[in-house]
Amino acid sequence: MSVEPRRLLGVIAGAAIALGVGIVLGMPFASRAQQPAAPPAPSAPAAQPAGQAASTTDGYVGADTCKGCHEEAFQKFAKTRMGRIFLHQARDPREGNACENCHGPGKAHVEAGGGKGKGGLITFAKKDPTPVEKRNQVCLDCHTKSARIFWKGSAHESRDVACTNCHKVMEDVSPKSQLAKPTEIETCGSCHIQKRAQTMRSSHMPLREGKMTCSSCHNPHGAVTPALLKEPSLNDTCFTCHAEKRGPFLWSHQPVVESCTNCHDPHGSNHEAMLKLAKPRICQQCHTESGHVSRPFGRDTGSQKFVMGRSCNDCHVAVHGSNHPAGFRLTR
Amino acid sequence: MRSPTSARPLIATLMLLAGAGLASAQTKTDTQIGGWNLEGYVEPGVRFFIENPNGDHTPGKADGRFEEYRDINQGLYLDGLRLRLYRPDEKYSVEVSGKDWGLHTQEYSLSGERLGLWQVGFEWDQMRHIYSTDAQTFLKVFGGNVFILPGTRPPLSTWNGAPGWSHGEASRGTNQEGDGQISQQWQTARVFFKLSPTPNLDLVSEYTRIHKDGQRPFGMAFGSPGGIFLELVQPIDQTIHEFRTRGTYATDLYQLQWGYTASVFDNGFSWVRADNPCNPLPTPAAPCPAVGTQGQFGTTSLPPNNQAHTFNLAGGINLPLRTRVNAGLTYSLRLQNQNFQQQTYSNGLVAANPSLQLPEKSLHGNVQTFLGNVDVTSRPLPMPVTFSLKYRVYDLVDNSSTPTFQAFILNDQNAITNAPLRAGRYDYMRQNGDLNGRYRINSYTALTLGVGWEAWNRNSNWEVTGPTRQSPRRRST
Repeated sequence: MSVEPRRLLGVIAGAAIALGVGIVLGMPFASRAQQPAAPPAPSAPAAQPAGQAASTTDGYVGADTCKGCHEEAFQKFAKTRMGRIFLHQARDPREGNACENCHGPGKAHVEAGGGKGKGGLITFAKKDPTPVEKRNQVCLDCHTKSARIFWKGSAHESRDVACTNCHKVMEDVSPKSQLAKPTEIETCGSCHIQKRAQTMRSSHMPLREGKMTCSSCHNPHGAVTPALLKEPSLNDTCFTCHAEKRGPFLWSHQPVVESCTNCHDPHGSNHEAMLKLAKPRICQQCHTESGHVSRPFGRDTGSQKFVMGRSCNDCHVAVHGSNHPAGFRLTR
Repeated sequence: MRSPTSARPLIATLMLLAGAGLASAQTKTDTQIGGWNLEGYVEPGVRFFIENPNGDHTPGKADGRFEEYRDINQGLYLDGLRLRLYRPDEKYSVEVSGKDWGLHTQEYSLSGERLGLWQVGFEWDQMRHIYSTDAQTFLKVFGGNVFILPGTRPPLSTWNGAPGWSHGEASRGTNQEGDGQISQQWQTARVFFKLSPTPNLDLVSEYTRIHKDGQRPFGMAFGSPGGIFLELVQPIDQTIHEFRTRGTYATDLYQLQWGYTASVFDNGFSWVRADNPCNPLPTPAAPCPAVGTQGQFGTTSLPPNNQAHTFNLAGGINLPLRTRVNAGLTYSLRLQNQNFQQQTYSNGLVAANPSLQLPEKSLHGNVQTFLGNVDVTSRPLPMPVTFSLKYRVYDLVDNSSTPTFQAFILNDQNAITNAPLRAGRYDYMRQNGDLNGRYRINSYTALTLGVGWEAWNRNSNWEVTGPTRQSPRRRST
């Protein structure tokens, strides 16, 4: 064996050993030892703890009863925002029902000995036979405020999208909003695959860099605008961050006044500035080229400046509108 | 014999993985401090490049796409931090989180809450946008918005060999090589307060400040249409102040929401000036026009300061037969009243010609928008059938003034065109209506029948009335 391959094998072996040591040292640890989760015993109903406040006469058995069998899920839920409110700072008797506030009264489930499908509880699982509308109503009983005010009749609601399709209530998967996936773009992108792919194009807003999310512009719970935008109009949504385009300007550019998407594709494009078409073709969708003949080939080299580089914007810089007295052609 | 260089990528990858494994340790903690519990995690890391594509930012090294929105450093970095301090009864808590501390893309967050009652927080986020890393120019910048060329203009054929763009202030003198980077930095600060005095009522107030600082590619035309132009950068020193307040009251029967948003845009630069590369040229040559036809410099207006005020009111009510009615009204007012620049500053024509005097000092910009919508959704039948009726109207009315300029100078030429120009306004109204019936056959299939309607009404300014008018903005003499 020559020197070169032997050295290469040695390096690979050394790196593999270092990688293995690094993984062991880098594993997460807790300073407080965690109690191992007790395996669920569906055939043995949990005994009621002393002083248990829940009443069994109205069908509710209390969160401690649920915890007796569903310890692991309970502990995860207790770490979530909803769990902390329900279990520690309930604001009304409904919230005080904790688990049963959402899943329904547990008495029948407990008396049947627990187990899947026993007692008529709503599980919110994928194969839960409970109609989506009924499942969602459980959430809406509390969460009809703010962003959900237009949920009924919205695009997602009319297509029977369940709250639990996007949200995971029982444990924190994402840093915010208890999403089903670690990030918003993964959650939305699980259905909106094309839009997710668009954000990977070369000209894009910083979604994949983590500086924006889908909900920076959209309200997935329903809105009055098409495409579920948060603001009253598409342009108002863009002006939230790009207020320099808001105007009004002395000389307006009509397609800008109507809609930014006349020229731009906000989800991503392979053309600069997220344009739908490359310049000058994007401009030539409305403007004829009789004034500035734009030929990239041939002996008329003077026209090439209209198709190269920044093209039309070399001169027409104020394309979103101009406030200059001599800016009627958007050159000043 | 296999070339040694072919093994380098593999070696580099393995070393990087090993180093990442060693150094990227995630530490989770759950402990007690003075009666409070602490939970969270810290994720530090270390990174190094075998070959840094960012290099030393020498002109010609095109790495703008690689770091367009990112700051990828060598050495230690903070991949994530979240620490939460909370009372054992969960009544009060404080949380701090962050990422990329010390980098151009760093984030911080600090919040405190009384669980279920109020929450207050502060967030800070930085982002940069790199447009180019190999810009070249003879221009030097003074005061951020004045771009100067050497007194004797460089021949046009030498511009391809110009030094790298230096985005810092520079004194006139020998060329100073810059790193060629054109970029802008965004800094976003947000303060919010949320109050839920009852489970039915939510009140939120928040203030957001977005500050943008840097440059972006820009251009300036000189002379006649299709003539010479100069590539430069637009100075950016922009701040958006946004204040929002909203409230929601919800019961099982009905919900009501109201809100107000004020947005103020402030631009630190209202104009940019740049020397004309064709004037003065010691030996004018094509494509520069004849000497004396253009001014020595040009001035362009930058986006003016403006503000917007938006009021909204929305609500919904549940009716029998599983019917829901939603309605909303939104009114927005956009204002802009920044003073105009002169038609030109470079040739003394404005002072000598009364026709070039400004008819008004500013636009008195006033645009009002009105949005109204009604949605009715009903599922009256004991089967998966949904009926919906929607109507939406969006009306934009531009009440800004329409000044008429009796003459104009195009692109800082030394020539006046005595043809009046009136700035038109472009109102429009858009209406949408939908009527749908949807039958869900199973979990994967639904049948929808419906009709949609859309109508656009634009004012007369949008129309070109005859072949003699080149644009709606020019009044025939």
